[in-house]
Amino acid sequence: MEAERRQVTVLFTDMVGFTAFSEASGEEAAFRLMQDVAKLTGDVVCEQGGAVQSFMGDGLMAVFGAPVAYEDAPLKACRAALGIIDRLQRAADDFQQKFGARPQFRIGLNTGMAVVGEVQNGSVTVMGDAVNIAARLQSLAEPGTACLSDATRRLAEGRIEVEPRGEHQLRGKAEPLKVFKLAGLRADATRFAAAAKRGLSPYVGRERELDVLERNLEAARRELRVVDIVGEPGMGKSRLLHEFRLRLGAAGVFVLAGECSPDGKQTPLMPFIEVVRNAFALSGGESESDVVRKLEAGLTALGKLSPENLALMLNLLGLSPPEGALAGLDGVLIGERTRALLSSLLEARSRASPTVLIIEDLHWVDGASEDLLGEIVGATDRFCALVLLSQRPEHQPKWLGRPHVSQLSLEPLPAGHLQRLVCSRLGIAELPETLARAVTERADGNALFAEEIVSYLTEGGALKVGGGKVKYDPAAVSGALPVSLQSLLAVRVGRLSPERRAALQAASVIGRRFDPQLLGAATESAGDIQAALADMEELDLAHAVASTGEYEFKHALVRDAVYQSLLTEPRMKLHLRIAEEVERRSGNRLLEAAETLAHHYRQAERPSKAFVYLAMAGAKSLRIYSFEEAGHWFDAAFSLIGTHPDCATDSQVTAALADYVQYLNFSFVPKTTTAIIERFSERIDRGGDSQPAIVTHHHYAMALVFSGRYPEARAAQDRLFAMAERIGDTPAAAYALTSGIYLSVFFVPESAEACEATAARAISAAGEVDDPYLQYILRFAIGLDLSWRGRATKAMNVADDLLAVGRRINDGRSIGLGMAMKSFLAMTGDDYGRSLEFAESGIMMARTPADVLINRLLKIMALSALSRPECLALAREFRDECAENGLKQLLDFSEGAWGTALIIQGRFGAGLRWLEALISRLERDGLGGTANWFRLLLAEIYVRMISGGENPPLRVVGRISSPSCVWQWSPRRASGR
Amino acid sequence: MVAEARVRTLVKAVSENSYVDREGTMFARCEMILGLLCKAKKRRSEAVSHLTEAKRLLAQLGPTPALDRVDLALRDLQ
Repeated sequence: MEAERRQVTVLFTDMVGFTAFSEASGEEAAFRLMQDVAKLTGDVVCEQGGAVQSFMGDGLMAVFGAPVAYEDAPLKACRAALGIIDRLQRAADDFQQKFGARPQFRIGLNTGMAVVGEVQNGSVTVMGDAVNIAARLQSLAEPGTACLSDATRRLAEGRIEVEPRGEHQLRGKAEPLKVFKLAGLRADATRFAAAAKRGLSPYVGRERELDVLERNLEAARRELRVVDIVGEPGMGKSRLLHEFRLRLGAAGVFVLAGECSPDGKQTPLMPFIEVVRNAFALSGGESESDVVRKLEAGLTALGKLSPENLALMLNLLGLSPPEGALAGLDGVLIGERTRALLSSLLEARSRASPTVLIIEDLHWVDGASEDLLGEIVGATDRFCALVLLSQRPEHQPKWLGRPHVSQLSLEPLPAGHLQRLVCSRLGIAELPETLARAVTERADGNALFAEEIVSYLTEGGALKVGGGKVKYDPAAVSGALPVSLQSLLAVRVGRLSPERRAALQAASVIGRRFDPQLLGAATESAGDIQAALADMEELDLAHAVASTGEYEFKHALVRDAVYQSLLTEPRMKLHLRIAEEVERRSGNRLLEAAETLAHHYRQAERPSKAFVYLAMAGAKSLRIYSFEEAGHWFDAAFSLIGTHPDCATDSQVTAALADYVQYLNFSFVPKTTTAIIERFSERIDRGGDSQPAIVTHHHYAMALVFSGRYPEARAAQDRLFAMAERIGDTPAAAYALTSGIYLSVFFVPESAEACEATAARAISAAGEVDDPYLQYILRFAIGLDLSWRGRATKAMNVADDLLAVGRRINDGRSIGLGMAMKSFLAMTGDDYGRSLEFAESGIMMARTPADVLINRLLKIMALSALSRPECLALAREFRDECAENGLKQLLDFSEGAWGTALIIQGRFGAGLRWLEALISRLERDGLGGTANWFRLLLAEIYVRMISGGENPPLRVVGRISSPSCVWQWSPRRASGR
Repeated sequence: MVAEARVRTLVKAVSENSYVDREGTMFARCEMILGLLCKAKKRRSEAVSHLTEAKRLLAQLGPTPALDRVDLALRDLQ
């Protein structure tokens, strides 16, 4: 059998006085005695369904519940213990006659989780603490008796008689253990045969909560309403929504539903993908043409059909959009448009009829979905709909506190409601008081826990129902309840037969929701899957999802309990089998399943496959502008390379890096960008010349400039030019020329004529490359170069071009940088008010951290020129942020704003010295072009002083500008100011 | 005198930089600063010369506060 973690009952025997007998009668007699005793005890164990694991001199160890699982293994073990004692007593005279001794045994019994599996040659071995405790209990037993642990007693309670033997401190255990003597079996100890009919218990309680939802639905016919349903696991969030949906069925309300799952946390827009699937009636495994047909019909019905919208939906679902349908759009633009489309579909839907959008388990939401939900929640002027969100208390959505958002906390159910729930489940009118108290105290207001307790007690035989009445042993019930929902679930899973457990475990590896066909493929040895699924439903562990044909675990905790019962190796095997099956089924639609495949191959420890799909999932996230998720996948991919360097070829590493560093540069974290490229530089070089290598080198050069590492940027740029020349195609030239122009703005500039010629070549080349990033970053670089030379009119034309390009393709990055350039140019005309306006518009329009940060810098510069007091605090915050992320280039500019801010604050000497030192440092670092701006700023400040309108007196100027007083810049000094 | 020398040094470093377009706004600002400096130092003709050149160059941006400043300074000098 496969090794697994399972609940077992272990029985240990030890013959009293065997050593003395052996010494007195000799080893041969002792051996023959043990042969007879072993046969007797082994027979009893086998009769009760146990397995003798080993004979050890004068005793044995037997296991109940493995390799064959029994729901009443503890009872069987107790029967075996009493059977051994009885048979030995009955055979005592025979033994006396044959060996001159009346053998007696001490027996120990304990139940708990243990690792069970074959070590070799088909023999089953059980290992774990449960075994050790059983051995120690045996030593506590009186001769001719059996001792059992509280765990075994509780599980067999109601069917055995015991006598307490106090608490004992066992070696190696921190807490004393309650010990009982096994006194006998109860006459009526039979397995409870008629399990309660399972399924959803009738709904009790939560009437107030349903009323709240009803009222919000009424209000949502006129305006947007959002209700956050908050509760601990098992409090009934999903059930409340289920009941509410049942009511909606008759009210003509259209329901859009999706849920987040821990498996999908890093899948961008996961719950909205489900919303789309549900709304457009898409099911798993459908042909691509059927999906297209349904999407077309749905989009037409909502008046939203266009080639681009259809392509965006297909891309969202991980399918290939028609060739050219998304041409000219990169991940950022596709992501923005996908979100806008989803939002507009909801708007159109809510206009057609009352609409409820339900997103469950928000605590597992991905970043992209949370952003979209934030937009929906904030769009009070666009929607008349009810948005219902469920989540655990630890999740705090950012929209809490808005007037149209209310929070509905699911408090623990009162005892009376829990009792009604239990009664309904058992099919009885009234619950006996002791039972009611035991259940409600343990469940503590948690409906799921209460349901599980009922299943646990009835399955274990501690509670029986007949003729509308319940029979139980109060002491047994109160003592038998596991202390937590998790442990209770673990025991229930442990009770299943091996076949059923294997199916359930395989399902748990697939995830909270699983496809029966995939389950069938994953469990080659699990027998009839349909029967297993029927059992899962019967046992209320999983249920069919009618809309999709899938099955779903009743609760995430149930899935977790099952998953955790698997040992590492079989779990890995299952992950691998599932991954291979998903891969096989996906055919040429691997992108659709990239996250799933990445997850399973990673868990299966197949690094080569895992790397491919992790990188694919990262690129997919970038394709819909989901940075948080992209970062997660790429981080995981490159972390894998760290531990398994050979899991990817050099070309694969370079290709993945090209995507990864683009994401990092959008995020404006050049320290990280340069570090990762430098870490893999040898592999990039070994990968040879390629377009991904060009893109990687381009972003490396850009990141080095952002980092203020100009000489290194120059060297990287030279390597990039050389590679582009070797490749000799237009895209390579476009990327190389773009970073070349950007670098030359700041470091070792070309002549104006040369730069104009380069810019013309770059514009021409970039025009042939389908990459919006290249279009705006190139124009921004050219605009900066013109501004640095003082060619403001031409630079203004470039800024207008950036805005036009951005507006034409609705690209916030291009608009943001166009605004930044206009802000800068307004500053050169001393129009600081307009400069501030442009910068603030830029902040609003910009999309990536990079373009937002550039506009923030300009805002600070404008504020300081306008002598606005808030500029000092903003400048300080900005400088800290730049320092933290290694943005030395922006830090240089913020240093100028900082010096000016000091002067505005009246700290003339400090401000002037600061600017003088900054100019010296920039010049020393070869950044004469940048230093020019601060020279002019400083010169103007001096002129104002000389003109007599400003303090300080001229002696201050004289002191700070003397050659002996040139400050040396240092980051520590800068941060300490 | 120390301050004036410092201003001239700073401006010279910019205006003599081959990177800077002598017909551009950066050069215009150099002229404006020198013009305002000369005006403060009561060297009228030199100030008018610099400010007039600044005005010519700044005009390419259209009406701006910088151009207004130059115009105002020139009016003061008349």
